[in-house]
Amino acid sequence: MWKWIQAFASPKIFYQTSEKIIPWLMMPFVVLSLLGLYWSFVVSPADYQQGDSVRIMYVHVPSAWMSLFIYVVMAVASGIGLIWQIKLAHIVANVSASIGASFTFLALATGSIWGKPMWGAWWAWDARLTSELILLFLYLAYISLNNAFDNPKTGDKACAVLAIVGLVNIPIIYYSVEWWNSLHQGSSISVTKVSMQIDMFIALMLISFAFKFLYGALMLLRARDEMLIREQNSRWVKEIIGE
Amino acid sequence: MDFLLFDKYSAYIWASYLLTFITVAILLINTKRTHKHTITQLRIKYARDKKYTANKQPLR
Repeated sequence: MWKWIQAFASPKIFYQTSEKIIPWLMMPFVVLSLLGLYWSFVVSPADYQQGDSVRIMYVHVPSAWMSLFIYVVMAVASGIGLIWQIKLAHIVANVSASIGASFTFLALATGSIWGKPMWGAWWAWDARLTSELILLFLYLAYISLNNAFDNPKTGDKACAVLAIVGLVNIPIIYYSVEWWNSLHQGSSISVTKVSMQIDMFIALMLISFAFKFLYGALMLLRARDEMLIREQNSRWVKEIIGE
Repeated sequence: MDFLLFDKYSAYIWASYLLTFITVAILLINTKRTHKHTITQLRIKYARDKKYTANKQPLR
């Protein structure tokens, strides 16, 4: 396994292998998105309390999950990059930041749109909302810090430290609805229990997996570009570009 | 198709999905554009390097 990871982390092998993986991520993304939209708009019933506004949850909740998931990926990749000095790990963290920031923005924006008819306000300084906003700031800080360095090696280390330190915010976001009296509703899905109608759950899962595949494809596409830039003096890059 | 009007929540629901669509589209388009830009920049760099190396060849 370790040998396979080391081989895949080699810039040239990563570039060649990822090209084959990307279509296998894009196809499920398209199929699951279409199915997810059908389930969200047609199959899923209106909620007995929220009415049709529950349909906003099918994009809001997967976006919020993605914002947390991508940050954890960034922190783990940063840790791997710092400990084992794997260039690809730093690249994965770097290219994930803007995708994560986009999903965090989407989670906040769709949550705000849902909040207006349900709570009567676009925004509340609630623990869940505030900690999610802090996550957006962490992503933006990471992107700014990454752009501030001319030398990628120095930038990678500083960004890795920021990503790892910022990881403390993830459990705060997740447990905020339990730790504080929150306006935000509690979790409807846990490992052992799903407290929602089955078609609502399917719609949520379809879009959630579609977003995961999208992230995978975008991350690989962007990592390939970053790899080309960093390895621009290597012979294999010159051969590929010269083709 | 009346069911797609979603009662009084229609504007909120469609705004959310439109925003999601726009965000995903921007992510995809931006990724594609960055790739094109990277390839173009590297081609320019290699062409310049080649020209520079050719100019440095000793005269015969």
